Amino acid sequence: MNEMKQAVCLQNVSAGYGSITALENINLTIKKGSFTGIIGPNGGGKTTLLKIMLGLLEPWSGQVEIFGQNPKYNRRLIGYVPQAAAINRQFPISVRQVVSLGRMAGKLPIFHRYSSVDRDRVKWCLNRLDVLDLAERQIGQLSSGQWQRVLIARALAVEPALLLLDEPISGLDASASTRVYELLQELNQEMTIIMVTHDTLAISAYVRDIACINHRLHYHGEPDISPELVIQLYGCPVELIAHGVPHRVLEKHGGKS
Amino acid sequence: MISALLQYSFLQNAVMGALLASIACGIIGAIIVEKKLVMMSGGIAHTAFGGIGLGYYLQVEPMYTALGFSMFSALSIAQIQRRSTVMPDVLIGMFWPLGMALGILFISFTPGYPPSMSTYLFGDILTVSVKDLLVMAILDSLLLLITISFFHLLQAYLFDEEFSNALGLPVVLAESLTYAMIALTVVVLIRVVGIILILALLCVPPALARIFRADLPGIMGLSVILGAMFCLAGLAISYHYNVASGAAIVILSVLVYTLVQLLSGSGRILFHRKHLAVDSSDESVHTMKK
Ligand SMILES: Nc1ncnc2c1ncn2[C@@H]1O[C@H](COP(=O)(O)OP(=O)(O)O)[C@@H](O)[C@H]1O
Ligand SMILES: [Mg+2]
Repeated sequence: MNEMKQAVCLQNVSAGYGSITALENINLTIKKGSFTGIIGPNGGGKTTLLKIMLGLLEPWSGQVEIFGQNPKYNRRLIGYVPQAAAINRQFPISVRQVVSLGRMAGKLPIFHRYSSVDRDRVKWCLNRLDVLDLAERQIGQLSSGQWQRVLIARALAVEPALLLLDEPISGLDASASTRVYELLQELNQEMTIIMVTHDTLAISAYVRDIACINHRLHYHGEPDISPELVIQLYGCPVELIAHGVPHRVLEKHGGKS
Repeated sequence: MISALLQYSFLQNAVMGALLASIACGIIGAIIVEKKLVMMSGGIAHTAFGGIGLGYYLQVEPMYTALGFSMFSALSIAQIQRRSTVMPDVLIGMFWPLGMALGILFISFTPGYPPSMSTYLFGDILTVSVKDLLVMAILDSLLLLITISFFHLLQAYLFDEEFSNALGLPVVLAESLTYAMIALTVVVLIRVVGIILILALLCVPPALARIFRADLPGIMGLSVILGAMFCLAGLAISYHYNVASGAAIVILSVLVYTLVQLLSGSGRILFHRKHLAVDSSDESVHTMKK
């Protein structure tokens, strides 16, 4: 096997649900060690793209490789942080148990018990995300910021080489988001990160590459997006990206509005 | 009743039946409530009626054919759901009456007087035989064995199916086990509460238990205890007033649940207070550890 530099390699990938096409002919390679933001309008196929990388959804056509292999064989290398709202928080489970689930990957499911290595890793993750003191709490009794961090801790419990996050700061206030970003930036030294986001702060200050998805891949590269691209992507200049953002995101979009 | 209990073996059987029923109803009740499979379980329960009819028609023990029917339906429904995008509701709407229809069909084919089905529809704990108890005990052991040996897998599947898939866990196995356990539970409970009334005995104990407990094993355990109390009390009512045990158990348990919710609500408040008290940590004072 060649020593691959690519964490993710998608070739001519099309995918969808029933008769709905969500992604069309996507070609995307993401280098090991990168911190990539995926942006695009609602329904543009961002979540679908993550599901393809996770092997949760089979593409209609095209090829998907994660660290040079089919995602099915590389699941233990991927940590997944789903959209926080997608999970039933009434479920009777504690924070520690949720994070522990990340340790089940690749284990025999019958008579499964967590080892002391597992418990140590879980504790380390809880501590890293600063939720150790909430470990025994039922998950319904957390603020949205705490819950978001628990989901990240669960993904880290897997000990992933690739971390996929789906809108990890939606519902968080500015200071909570900044803390999440700073943590991700640190983690980026150990792992490749791909994050779906709508947040301009992330795009301007933390991610190193962006990919713009609206059924097709419209742009992939450094986060210097032209106003024309934003219009093409969102249909109209979006305040989200265009206004009040420090330096390198957008040039001023002069006469256009 | 205590002296009668020592005297009559049918009462001893009934008490054993009540206790064995509570094990199944507590464990699986907690699972179906958390996974929102309550109506699905109702559907699977009613398919068992087809099996009861077949048992009469073939003159074999109806409990065995009921088990075959409910198991086959449960696994088929799970399989159809995996392969298609059909709403669970729709499948329930088909299999539920299908079971009843097959039951009627087989019974009308059965020569001679039509047998009374009320034992199976509404339960009759006072006529539980030693053989019934044996079947119930075996199925209970199977339920306990599956739950204990696959606990983490089941917990992962019940809580977050997508993440379990992303981890590569055998989610299909977890789902099949869950549906199979529902089928086993139906058969354990038929003689005690009957097909039509099974849902209430599955719902009420975990619904009450989750007011007081916030962990799955805790809810299961407390549900078993509550289920046993309802079944035993229902048995006493059934014995004294000569009503179907299922009816007594259901009326009693739903009444208790309603009263608890309406009158006190304090369980919930106490529970929350306990948890809030621990919450000295304010979001704003948190800082990410480096
Ligand atoms: N489970 C699903 N079944 C059918 N269609 C879906 C499903 N999930 C997403 N879609 C559709 O696929 C498209 C892309 O969705 P998604 O990837 O969730 O977009 P995004 O995450 O960018 O908002 C949308 O048109 C959406 O309606
Ligand atoms: Mg999405």
